[in-house]
Amino acid sequence: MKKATILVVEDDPALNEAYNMILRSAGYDVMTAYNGQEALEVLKDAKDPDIIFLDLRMPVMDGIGFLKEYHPEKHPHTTIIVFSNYDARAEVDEAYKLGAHRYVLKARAAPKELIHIVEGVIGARQ
Amino acid sequence: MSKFNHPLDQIRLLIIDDDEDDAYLLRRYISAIPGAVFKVEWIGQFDEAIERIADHDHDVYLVDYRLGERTGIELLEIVRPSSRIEPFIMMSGAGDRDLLRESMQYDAADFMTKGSINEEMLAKTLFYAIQRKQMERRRYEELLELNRSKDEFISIASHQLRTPATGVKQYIGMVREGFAGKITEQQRMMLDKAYESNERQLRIVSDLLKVAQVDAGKVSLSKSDVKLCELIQDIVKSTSSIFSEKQQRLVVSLPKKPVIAYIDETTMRMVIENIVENASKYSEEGTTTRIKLYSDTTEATIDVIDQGVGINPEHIDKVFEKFGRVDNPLSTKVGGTGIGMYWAKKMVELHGGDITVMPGRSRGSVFSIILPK
Repeated sequence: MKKATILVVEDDPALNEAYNMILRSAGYDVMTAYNGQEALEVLKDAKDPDIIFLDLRMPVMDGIGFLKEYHPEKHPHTTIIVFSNYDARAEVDEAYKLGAHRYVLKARAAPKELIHIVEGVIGARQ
Repeated sequence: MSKFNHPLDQIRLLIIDDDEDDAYLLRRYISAIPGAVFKVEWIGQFDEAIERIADHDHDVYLVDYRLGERTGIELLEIVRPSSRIEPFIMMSGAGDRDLLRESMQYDAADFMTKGSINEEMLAKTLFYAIQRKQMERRRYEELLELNRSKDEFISIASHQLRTPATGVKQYIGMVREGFAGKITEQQRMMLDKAYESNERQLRIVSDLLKVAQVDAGKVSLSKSDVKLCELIQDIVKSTSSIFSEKQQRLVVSLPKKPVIAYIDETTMRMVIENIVENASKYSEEGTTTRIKLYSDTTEATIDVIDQGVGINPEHIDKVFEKFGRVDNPLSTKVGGTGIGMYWAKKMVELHGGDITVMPGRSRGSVFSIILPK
């Protein structure tokens, strides 16, 4: 089984670090960004990750701004999971329209569930 | 006669009076009012007046009581002055006290006896009526604004509360799930309590957000044709662990023919789940909950029948009230904000349906979700 690469885009340092620890301990390669702009820079020099966990509300460049720049349709091997605590329908719908694949309310996902989500995505591909 | 300080540059006035001579007299008085420019229109017919009022082309209306076969009161009943920003002033040939009372009852801004009308009195009546309505309007807008900022505050505060609580969830979750090595039974017990408290806080935040969205009218439904049998089977699957944990049974009875309703699937799923989960929460161990779906040509009904603590008939209205919690032997244990059922009812109503609750035949309660097809 190929080791999956995951990019976490999350502005809250405590959460960013937590997701990093959880995913690394499950054996995944993790890249980190604290806003949409940073995420674009990280992605410029790396090969497409398998999954991007994308927060919506972030300073500098938010999740919607990131999706507009990133053009998910050009990266068919990357699953974008919007991972936000803002469940305003309009925002989530817009993210879907811009190519996000899934939406998960951050407050719902315990560490184990986070790993389940990743396993689900990776498992579906193999 | 002194000049009045009226709030509009030009006052567009509609006289509704079936007596042309009276209307002519009114026009003369109006044209003699100093310091104001009036644009006066006259209509003698009831139906024509209703149509013209619907155009919202005027700042004030003078309505005679006698309008052919109809009356000015009937007209007020149709146009509902309380929902309009322009004042409606009633006039009558006789200074009838009952008529005065009736005019007020139907929200006329003022009442004049035709015989006592003169320029000065007419000017005062018109200007004050317009001014009062404008003040009312301003106050209404201020209240709307206040309400908007309240909803916005709840929304921002709740969303922001979620982030630190999510942090707590992750870190306690990691220790609990063994990410930092083995923990003792006692440590696990304590962490479980901390985790559960935090979960409760997250649920309260979600409930507050739901209500803020409903109250702000910000809920938008995206409806599609949904197969109710499949939806219910799905819900049974997702809630089965809650029932088995309490050694309870969940029994479903579905019609053979598919039942399709035009609904917002995500929202209705949450509504039904909410009621099904409550059935488990408010029932003792070993009880059975039944979900029944049936339909006729116009509506589909989902009954959730539990064998729980039931609801005292006196408190049945309280179930769907905002923050309304009904005391029962399990309510403290279950916890909650009293928002779930309020939200559920609002959502079903947005679908053009209804939720009702009745006491069960021997015990428990029956919640019925009625959806138009």
